[in-house]
Amino acid sequence: MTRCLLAVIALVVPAMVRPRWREEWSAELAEVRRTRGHLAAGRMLSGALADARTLRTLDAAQRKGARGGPFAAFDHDIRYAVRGLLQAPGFTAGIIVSLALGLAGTAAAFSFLNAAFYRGFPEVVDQRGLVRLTLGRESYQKFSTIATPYRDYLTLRDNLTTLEGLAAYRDATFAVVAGDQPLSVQGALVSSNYFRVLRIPPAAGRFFIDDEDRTPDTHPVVVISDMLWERLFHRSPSAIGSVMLVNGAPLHIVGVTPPAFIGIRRAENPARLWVPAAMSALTLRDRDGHPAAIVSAGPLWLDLVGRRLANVSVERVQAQAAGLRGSLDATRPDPRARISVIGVWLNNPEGMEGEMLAFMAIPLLVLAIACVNAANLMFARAVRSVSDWVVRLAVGATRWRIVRQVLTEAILLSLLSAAFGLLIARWGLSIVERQMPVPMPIDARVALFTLAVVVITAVTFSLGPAWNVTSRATARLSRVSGGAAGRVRSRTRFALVMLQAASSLGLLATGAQFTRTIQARAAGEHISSPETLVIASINVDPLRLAPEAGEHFYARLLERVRQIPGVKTAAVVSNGLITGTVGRDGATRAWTDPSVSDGAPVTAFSVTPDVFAAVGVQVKPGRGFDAGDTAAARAVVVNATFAKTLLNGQAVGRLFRLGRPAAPPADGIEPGMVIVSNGVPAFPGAPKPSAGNAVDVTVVGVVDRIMKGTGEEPPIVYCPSPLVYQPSRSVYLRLDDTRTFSAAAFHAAVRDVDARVPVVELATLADIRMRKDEELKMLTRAAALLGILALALAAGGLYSVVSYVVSLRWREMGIRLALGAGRGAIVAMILKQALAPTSIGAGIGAAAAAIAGTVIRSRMYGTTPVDPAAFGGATLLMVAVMAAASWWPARQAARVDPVRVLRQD
Amino acid sequence: MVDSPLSFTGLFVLQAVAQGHRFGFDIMEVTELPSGTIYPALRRLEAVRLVTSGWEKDDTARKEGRPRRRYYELTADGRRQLAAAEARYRAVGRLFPRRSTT
Repeated sequence: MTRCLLAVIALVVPAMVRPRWREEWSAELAEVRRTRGHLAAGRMLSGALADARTLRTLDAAQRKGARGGPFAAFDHDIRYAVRGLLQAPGFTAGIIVSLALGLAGTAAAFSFLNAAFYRGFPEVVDQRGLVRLTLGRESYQKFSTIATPYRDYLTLRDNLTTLEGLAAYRDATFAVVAGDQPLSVQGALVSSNYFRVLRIPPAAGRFFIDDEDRTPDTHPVVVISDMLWERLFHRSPSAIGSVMLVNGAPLHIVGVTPPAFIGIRRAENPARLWVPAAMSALTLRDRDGHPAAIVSAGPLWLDLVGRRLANVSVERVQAQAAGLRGSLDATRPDPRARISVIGVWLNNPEGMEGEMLAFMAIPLLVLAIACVNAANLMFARAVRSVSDWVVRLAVGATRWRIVRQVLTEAILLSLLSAAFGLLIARWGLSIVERQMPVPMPIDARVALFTLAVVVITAVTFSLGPAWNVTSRATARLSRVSGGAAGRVRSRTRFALVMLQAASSLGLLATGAQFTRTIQARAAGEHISSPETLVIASINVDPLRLAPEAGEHFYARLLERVRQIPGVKTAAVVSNGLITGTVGRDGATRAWTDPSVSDGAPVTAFSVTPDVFAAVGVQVKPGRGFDAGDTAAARAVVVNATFAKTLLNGQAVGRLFRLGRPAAPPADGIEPGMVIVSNGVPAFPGAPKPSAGNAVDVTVVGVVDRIMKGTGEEPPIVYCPSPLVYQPSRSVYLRLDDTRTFSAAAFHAAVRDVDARVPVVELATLADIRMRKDEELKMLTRAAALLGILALALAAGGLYSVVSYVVSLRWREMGIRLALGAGRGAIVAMILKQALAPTSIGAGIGAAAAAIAGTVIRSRMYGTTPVDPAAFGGATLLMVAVMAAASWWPARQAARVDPVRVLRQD
Repeated sequence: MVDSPLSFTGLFVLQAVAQGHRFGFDIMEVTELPSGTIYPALRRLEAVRLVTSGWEKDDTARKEGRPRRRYYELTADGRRQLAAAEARYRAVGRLFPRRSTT
């Protein structure tokens, strides 16, 4: 027993002395056993472990002592550093604040990139194994997608043996009614294996089974998102199995997706409900507008996503897919068609390195400024402790040992700063996250990146000072005595201050540039008081109303919303007039000159009579619409551009012909649309009068510009009735001054007319505009904030540098004063010397910002040219702040008492 | 490395060895300190060369039918240190009655 224990404990003993140790202990134990018995021997053995450990420690110490090594006694360094930092709380806090802010920006920016490019879609398991298949055509080195029949999907699914599974999905908007609340919900038709391929576990219930996807319309089931579950059912488990009206059809809820799941496409409105593809009749229409089964609906915009088998490369899937090209309806007839297979990314990072670097540049610049600050502070401190180093060198410390000490201090400071920085970054990200569809956690990758940055930062800001100071200490050692402390004029310091000034001015100027751009964007508004113009989008398409019923709905809706308290004028308009996305009506042509065979492309909007009053634009010359201008009257109003370019300025009373292309196929607009003439011979080149129409119209008025922008408005014609039936339209409400209008009243009005119809969107024009510029505004705010941060850091840096230099020149100041220099002259001298590097830096910064501005302008639409006022302002601000930062220590210098200084000599 | 000050334990052990208590258990007995203190102290003293150790002759051990003991004795340095310490701590000398051993 004791022997066994001894053998185990012996393992702790260094191998070299182990046999001897065991022999000694067996002898000792034998002795005890013989004289005192087994119990005492056991007690004795309890000391063996302590003995073994002592041997081990001694052995380790001996080895270290023998070799020394570059990191011997590292713990001493750390202890010494901690003590040193605690003794100089001001210095420590200064560095930590500087670096924490710099690191926070960098970490936050990297988290953003990480979430945008590398983290992938929330909840999707093993995204690397997924591939996206796209059918397309190669032309002019550009890959353009072609629509895919569902049958082709089935062929691919059954024949791609390199995939574990291939899923298809197709985005659609659904009208959902649960309780009495109609909602417009973004969703998707999906193949039954969709969730299986993505490996998403249901948060409640189950996902689709293959049976639910085999026969059309037989399995009315739906999977909803966590958000819908929360909003409609308050996460009640009884929601599973209950019935929800989707596009008018009762569907059984079978499952709920996990909270963060947003599908695998980046979208502003991620999908919130999923319906099996076999239920496609809910949303798909064939050419004649009848509900269509997905298999017979013809080519569709389908997204295909597959999961590779283990150990199968993307290239192998690609090769196999290429072999199937001939068996697909979509690709067979076209020799240039091919099947692309790529990985699934939130954003593909390939080829984006430049953009990512550009994005990281600004926070890294701020970090660089913080580093310069820290370096300055380190420098000042290290110089003060030169005499310590001299002693250390004298008693045999190596130069490396001293550099190591400074490095340790720097890394300690950086780590502390990183901890604070990550906290700040987390807080900042939590604000940004509210506006982003994907979470931006600080994960291992971000932490690792920050750690790498910390090490680089620490080395950057400490190595210079450390080396400089040790060489100074060495020099002093050899001279035995010599000039104390640092040089008053240091080229390094000059350069550092200059660099800081340059970077902070660059950031300030860029921020100012962005701000000007925002202002310029707001300037293109031609509609007065946007805060009293409410725009609502309505879509009755999901309800599959006949065109007559749809028209009837909108007519009744207009009557009803006019009665809402607080509404002055109301109009129903085709989508996109004010908010900028032109709907299908956009592809209209006008023939103002019968001799021209091909009409001029114009944009047509169908409007109800009060539209110009609601929008608030003038009709001049001529008149707006009145109640008599129904479809039969054929009266139209044109905009100023139309009158000028197509009617030579003489618009009112003119007659022209308005034509429409045939209704596009059920799925998207395809090239080569035909203009249909209704048999009117004046329009040659119009082969098939299958849909659409062409009418002769009379201009009754010319209206001012409505669309936003600063360039010329395109030629627009306003018609009192739609040329084709449009299921989706916008309602414009101009509010009166009573402020009694409420969104609830509008919802109630829509419900009164048809309880199944959801309001897709409801907002004032002011809100819509604001939302649209949100991204740019955020960028502006971030740039401005970083600019101010950089300025604050640079000012703090300059302050510490000037204070330090002043402390070095204490004696000089005293002598100057004693010799009769005025205090004002002293302040002026120090200010001048402090502002010299600042001004040079400002010049460099301004030049850099001008270049950056030009680059941004070439990349970003609608940025204003480099603005001298913004630059001048930024420069002035910076010089003022820098002057203030150096004025305080300058005044301190002027207060030196010459008598005391001279007495010290 | 050498100038680590002599601890009380170290001093006791040194004293015991000087008085002829030459192996671990014997030193334990006379100092009444536990094994977990005595052996580490011996190691440290050996590491700083205040004591050295050697093995008992094989014959002696075989005659008594036990493994050979490891014997410790003071080095010149050890004696000097002990003398210096004794000069400082007079009382230490009186802690142990002189006694002859094997």
